[in-house]
Amino acid sequence: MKDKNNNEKKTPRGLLIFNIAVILAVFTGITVFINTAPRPTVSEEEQRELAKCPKFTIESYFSGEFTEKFSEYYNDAVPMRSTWKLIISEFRDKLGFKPDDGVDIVGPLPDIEE
Amino acid sequence: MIFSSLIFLYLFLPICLVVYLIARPIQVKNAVLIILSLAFYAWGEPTRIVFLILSAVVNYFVGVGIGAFKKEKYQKLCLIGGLIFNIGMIGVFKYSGFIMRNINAIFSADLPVPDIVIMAGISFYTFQVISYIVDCYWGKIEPQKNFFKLLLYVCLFPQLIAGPIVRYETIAAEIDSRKTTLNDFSVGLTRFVVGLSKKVILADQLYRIVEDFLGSSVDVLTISGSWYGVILYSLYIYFDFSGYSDIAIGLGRIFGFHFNENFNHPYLCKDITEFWQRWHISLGSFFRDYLLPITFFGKRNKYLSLFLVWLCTGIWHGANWNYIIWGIYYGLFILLETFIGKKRMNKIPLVIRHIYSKLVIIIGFGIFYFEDIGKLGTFLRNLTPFNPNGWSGYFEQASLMSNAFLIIAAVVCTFPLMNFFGKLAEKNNTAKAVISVSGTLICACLLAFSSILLVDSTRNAFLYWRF
Repeated sequence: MKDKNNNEKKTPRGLLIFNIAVILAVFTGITVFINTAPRPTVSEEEQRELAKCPKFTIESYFSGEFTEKFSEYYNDAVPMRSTWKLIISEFRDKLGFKPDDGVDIVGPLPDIEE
Repeated sequence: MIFSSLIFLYLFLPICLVVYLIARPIQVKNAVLIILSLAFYAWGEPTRIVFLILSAVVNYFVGVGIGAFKKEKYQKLCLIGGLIFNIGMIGVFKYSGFIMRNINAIFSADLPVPDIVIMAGISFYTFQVISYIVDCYWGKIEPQKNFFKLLLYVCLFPQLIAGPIVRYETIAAEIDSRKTTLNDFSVGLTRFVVGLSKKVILADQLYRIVEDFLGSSVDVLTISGSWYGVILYSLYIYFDFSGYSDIAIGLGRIFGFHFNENFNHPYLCKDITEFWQRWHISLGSFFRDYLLPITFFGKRNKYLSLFLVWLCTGIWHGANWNYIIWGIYYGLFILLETFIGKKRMNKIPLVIRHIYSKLVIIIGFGIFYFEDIGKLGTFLRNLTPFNPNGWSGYFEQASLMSNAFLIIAAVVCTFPLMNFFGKLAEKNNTAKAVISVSGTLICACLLAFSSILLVDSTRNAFLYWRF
């Protein structure tokens, strides 16, 4: 097959293997962790129940309800959720990222002070 | 399913990689990719795959028809039929509501406005199949006789939703025979992680700030607040869209496909013509290759043809007046640069050309952002000294200070850093090893950091999905 990427310089095989091994190790580690570790059901910090795994039915699949709720469950009830949220908050504090607190300040300063 | 979501990254993708790498021979690999691509597209709204498959079926028969008929008259009929179907599909699913709303407004009518949800990626995959049937008609490619191979081209999940718009000739040979080399896998993985990081670490974080400034009350923005918001939006849209393209190209590479580049550091451009040679390259080249030669105005009036191309570029982006204005806005600057000519443009001092191009691009993204024309007008006024809220305020200063690291990182990442380090690595083997190992470790950290940021992330959809 014609090589369409002739401009890419040859990288030694050892470095390619190292690159693949390290990235795949992180990727596999997170995959195993996220799919096997126990998932929390409640968030104590947010004082709410986390999304539950929906039951599969043909109707719920074709209506899109199952996939939507499953995505919500998968993203919401992440193992060690509180720890990750704490790390995110620390990073945002240190790097100056805007906190994801859902509070948006709108309007000139005097209006808000009033 | 969204690339930048935990469910895609740590459930769909691992299954996909394992099944694909185990599958043998190439026909089974192709079948695996078709099934997974359809599952990917069906996630969230299963019925929409009907239209995707219908598009593949119709265009398959159009291609076969063009190949089967010897007389050009019949080939042309097949092509016209295919074009009517494809443009009709986009027309119904993307523009029908907009057209009816405008008819009602112009003629004070009360016609029912269809409430059709835009199917993700319809503009991208429809343009792919248009390029396929036109290339078949022009004799540039042989029509695909195997339906499933054409279906794979249409539904291949890495580029299905938001491009790049891949030409059939680009991957025709790889559909039949491909091999993922060690280099492909390594480059693909790295590209994937870089794209994910651009999206999650830069674009999503920038958008939070953009929403504060442009997303709410535009009428209270100061001049510097308006500029600050729209500059960050310009950075956001670049990292969002180029991040998606990086993920698509990286995933394609992992599966043995070599897609063409879609971005080439667009903010390094010196004029608007160059910007469009560096931004969304696959869309620009589509209009250049397929619309420019067949416009009604022909070669006799290149200015009118150019205008039509830019009008279509605007319309392609969305069913709203601001996108049409945005397309015409760029068309006017391209026409201006065409009038001035390349030689005279090159004589203008580089600094002035850079300032001019960045101003046009940033104001252009302001037009792109505001779908409400009233708000757009207020925003454009607020960029000028006619702004009644004054030059600067507390919030943009506070926001700039508290997001300084993010903004600096975003600006630095618009430069070709990879090329810079690539050249540095060429010096000797030690430099190459150090840079390569450092790059690997940085990528691993970026993947972990992006994954953490995705926990409970609610605003992670790609902007170009709605186009």
